[in-house]
Amino acid sequence: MAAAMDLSSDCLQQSLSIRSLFFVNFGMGVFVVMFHLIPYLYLNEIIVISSPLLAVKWFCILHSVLQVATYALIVKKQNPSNKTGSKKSPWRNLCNKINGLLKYGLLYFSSILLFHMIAVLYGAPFSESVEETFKLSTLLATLTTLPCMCVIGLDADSWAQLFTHNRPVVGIESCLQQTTVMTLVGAWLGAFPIPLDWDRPWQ
Amino acid sequence: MRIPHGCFLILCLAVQSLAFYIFFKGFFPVKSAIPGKATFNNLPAEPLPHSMKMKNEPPKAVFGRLVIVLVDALRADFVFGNKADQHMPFTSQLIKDDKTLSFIAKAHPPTVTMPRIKAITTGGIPGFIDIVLNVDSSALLEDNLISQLYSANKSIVFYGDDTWIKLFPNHFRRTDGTTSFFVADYTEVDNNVTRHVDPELENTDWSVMILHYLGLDHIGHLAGPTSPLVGPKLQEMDKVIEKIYSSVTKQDKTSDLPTLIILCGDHGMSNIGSHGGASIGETTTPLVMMSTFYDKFGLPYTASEIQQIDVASTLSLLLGVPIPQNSLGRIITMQLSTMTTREQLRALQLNANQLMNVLATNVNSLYTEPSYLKYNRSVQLHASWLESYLQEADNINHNVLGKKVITQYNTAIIEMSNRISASLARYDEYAMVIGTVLFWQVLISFLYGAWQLNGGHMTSISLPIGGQSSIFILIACCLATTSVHINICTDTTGTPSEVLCNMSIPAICLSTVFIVSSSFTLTVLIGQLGKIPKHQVGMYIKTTQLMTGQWTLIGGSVLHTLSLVSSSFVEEEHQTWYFFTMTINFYFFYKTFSLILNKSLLIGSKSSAKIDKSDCKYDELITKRCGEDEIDKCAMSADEVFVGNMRTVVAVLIVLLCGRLMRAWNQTGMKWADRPDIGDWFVRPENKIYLSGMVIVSHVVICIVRHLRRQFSLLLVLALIGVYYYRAVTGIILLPWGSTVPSKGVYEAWFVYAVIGVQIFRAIYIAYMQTRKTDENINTYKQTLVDTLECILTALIVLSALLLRPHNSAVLSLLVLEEHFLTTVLWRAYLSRSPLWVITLLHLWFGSAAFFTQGNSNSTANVDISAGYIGLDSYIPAIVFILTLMSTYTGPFIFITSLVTYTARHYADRYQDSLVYICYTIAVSRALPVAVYLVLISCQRYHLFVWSVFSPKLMYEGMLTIVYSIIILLLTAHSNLVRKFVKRE
Repeated sequence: MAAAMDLSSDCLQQSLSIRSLFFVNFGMGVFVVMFHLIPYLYLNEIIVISSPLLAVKWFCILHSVLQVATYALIVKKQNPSNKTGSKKSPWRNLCNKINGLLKYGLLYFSSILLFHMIAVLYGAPFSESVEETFKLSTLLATLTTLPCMCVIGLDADSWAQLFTHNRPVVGIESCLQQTTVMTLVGAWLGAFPIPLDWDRPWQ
Repeated sequence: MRIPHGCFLILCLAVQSLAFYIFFKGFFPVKSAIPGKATFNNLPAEPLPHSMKMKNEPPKAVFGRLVIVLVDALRADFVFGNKADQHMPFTSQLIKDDKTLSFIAKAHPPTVTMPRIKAITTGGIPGFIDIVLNVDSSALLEDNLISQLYSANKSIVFYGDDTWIKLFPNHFRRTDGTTSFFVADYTEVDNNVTRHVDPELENTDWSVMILHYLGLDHIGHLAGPTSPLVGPKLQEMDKVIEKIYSSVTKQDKTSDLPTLIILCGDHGMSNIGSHGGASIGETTTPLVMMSTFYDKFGLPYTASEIQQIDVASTLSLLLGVPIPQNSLGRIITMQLSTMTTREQLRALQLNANQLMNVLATNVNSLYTEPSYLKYNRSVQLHASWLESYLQEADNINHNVLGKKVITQYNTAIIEMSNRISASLARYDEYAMVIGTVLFWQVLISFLYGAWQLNGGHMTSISLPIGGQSSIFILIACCLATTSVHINICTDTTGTPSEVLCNMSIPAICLSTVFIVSSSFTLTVLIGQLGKIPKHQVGMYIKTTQLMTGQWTLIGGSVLHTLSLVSSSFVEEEHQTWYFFTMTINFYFFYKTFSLILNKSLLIGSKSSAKIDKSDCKYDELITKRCGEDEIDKCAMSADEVFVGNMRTVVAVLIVLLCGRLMRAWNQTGMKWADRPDIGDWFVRPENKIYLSGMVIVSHVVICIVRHLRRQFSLLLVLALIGVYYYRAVTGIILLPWGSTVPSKGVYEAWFVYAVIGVQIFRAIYIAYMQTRKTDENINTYKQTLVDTLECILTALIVLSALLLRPHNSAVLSLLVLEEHFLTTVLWRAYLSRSPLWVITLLHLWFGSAAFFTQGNSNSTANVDISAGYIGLDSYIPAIVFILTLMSTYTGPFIFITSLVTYTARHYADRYQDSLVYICYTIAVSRALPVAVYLVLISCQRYHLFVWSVFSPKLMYEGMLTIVYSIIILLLTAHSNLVRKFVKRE
């Protein structure tokens, strides 16, 4: 989650053409802060520390809705001509949309599974506390796969480009890469102090 | 001045071990004991008024005979817990009927048998260093209960753990020792004790009988406290007690004094069945005192706690012998309640007086000690009480007043005992500081050497010593350190250091080493600092720019070093290593898949791509785009590229799975150690057949992997069959054909050793033949090197297969599998252009992870000593030590050997220099955490967990440093040998 914060400053230095991107990330940052602060005032049941599972669930849902909405806005704004060109029957259109949606869902779900697998390989218990591990991987997928999905879509080439380029094009790509890398680094660092036996709830 | 690298390394290692020695001496204090044995001759008189005649009588014995039933690893809840009714029906019935005195006796860590026996008999708290001597038990010279009983002409018979026989030679009239090193045996070892009980009970010539049962401890080590084997074992123990109790009760009717039967444990067991640490399970033991005497005086069990060291003084009092001189224990208060007030006071006075004597030898100024003043006060009260008591003997008030004096005595005793234990934990801080400083100097020297090596000084390093000015500086530094050292040593305000400031020869030698080493280091530092201009430092950093992966490696090392601050990270160090190695594996995973994605992308974009040998531009493009270290891609066809990629994919997946499986095999550490793991499942007696299958599968896997490396030989198969047969003969696994007579398997083990010997001989023979050949060719030279090293690696693997516990065969095979795919596929694919230190560091990391996967941890409980006795009929310290070392450090040994093999394979042209380079990398990466750890542990010497967590870790760090020092020495020697031969030709 800290990654989102990191990002807003990162994107400041980018060119003006992606000013909207900056706003998106700024908005996300505000959302993240609010999500942590508001429950202390009311909605006590989703404080991250006392009830992590529920909080993560709500965080994932809200965050993904927010992300999909904002990115949809930007992407539409940037290339509005793309969608209007197709003059197919509405039925066909709907089919396509459902098909696309299914594909997106599959991608998202498989990325969750991938993260779950990685967590297990890293030493998460195989048969116990599956729910916790699954929530964690959902959270990671929401923070990394979802924004990429919103921007890139299903194009395999761009995906490959994004993750194998050492120096991606400055702009939205580097922004996405930064988010992903930072999230994963955050998760890595967060996992490191697990052996400490302070028995604090935030652990 | 120029010194060859080899000499420099050896010099540094020597200083390093001395630094360790000094630190150890300062950190593990040796208590000052009163020599000799206590007698009744110098007993303090009862503080009677002057008019009375001074009487100097020892207290009267309460019991005539003593039977100690010591059950190894008997935890308190086995006797007092919920299941005691089923497991120990007789004993728990006695306790319920209030016919006993029962306590929970707290044992001091280290909870290992020998220190515990010492504690029970001497009443002292054995130092931490005793754990090292646990294996090598020699006669106990300190005053103790057994010697006291022996000098009181009581005849003692002993049956059980032969540690007692070694501790108390010639003390026992009849004896039969059992050894505790065949952990797999838990019936025979106890039957050997029980068979003596009946004849001895009919005998009347003994007055003390000691039985030490080992079976329960062995069950604990094998299967843990929840094992179904525990119940029957406890019932067996209960039967023994019932037998003794009933026959002794009969005999007591005709004797003057009753017989005391004691049921106790030397230590408990943790939830996974091991012991050695300070957890509640390990430190709580029961103490049940049974006798016909307690039919009247028994008290209900209230779970009251006493210290295990209290047993010595209490038993001395009850049996009418002097309290052992160095005992820190106090007489159990509940026992006293059976006596008259005057007797109680007398007993307490003796106890307090004995403690006062111990206090006097352990503190500097006795007369200002608050606890001593309390003692004086108690004696005065005692005297005045006696005066009034003798005047009017039947006054009721005496009891009430007497109680007050008793309380006063008790507080005095507790305070004195605490004061002594605190003074025993006194550190020699000066020695610790000197040791740490010396160690840091060694670290700096290693760094300096590595820097010189990097700067192109391949054969020797230059020290800026030789000019007149530098000699002047050297002498100045020498004088300065000497004067500081002498100043501190002769300082009158504190106590001078025992280790360094004595006038004994070792102290002077150590001081000299310190002074010489520091003056040299200082001179070199001053010389170097003067020479390097500032802008050059910047240049140096700039030219050695590191890649992200390399930074991660350095960062990981630093992170690991820093994590040692926390006791939990020390306990759970394996988590750190698993995490790091998994991260490395995932790095390769990411690299592989991004490579494949990219490639498929390029091929996809050029729809009619026919990639063949001429099409290498694409591959170049790929190489550029990925920033990969692929070299020979151009020479490959598309198919070859595909096969190569598939190999990497398979390798990555196997390595990932291996890492995860090995992690799950043995749960270790502290917090999660008692979680069930795969290894535990295999060890269960009902899974013997699966265990056998698993061992066979692992042996087959080892064979396959060695075959992949073209190192498959008949010798290997023979050796592995030998290992399997050895295990079958010792009764741990089944034979596919019929059964065998169980034995210790000495011949089988020796067969395996012989095969290993042949293997090593073969390696040396190959190398020797090479030196005689004249047609020198780099390829054949390389091939022989590789063959020799692979032979040694095979020998090492076979040796580990023999020494590791049976359920760890799988860990070994996974280790071999992981090592193979890492070095032959992944290193080659991704690290062929990385500097050698990266590969060395990776090998060290994987070695550390492997160390923990076989169930080791940073607690002293987990060392598998039984490995040292494989193939041995008797106890030969050197061989036992070497075998234990080999089995404990299997992982590091295998990975270092594989590193050398890798170097021979890929750096053959500058092999000797690479070896030196590896030596420096190992030395630095070992010295850095230890140097930091010495500072940390010095800062945290008053931490709560210093004895249970930090000291064992210090031991392990020391041991690991020794292991790596040996490795460095071997590598240096190897490098010099190779150099000699190459030069000659």
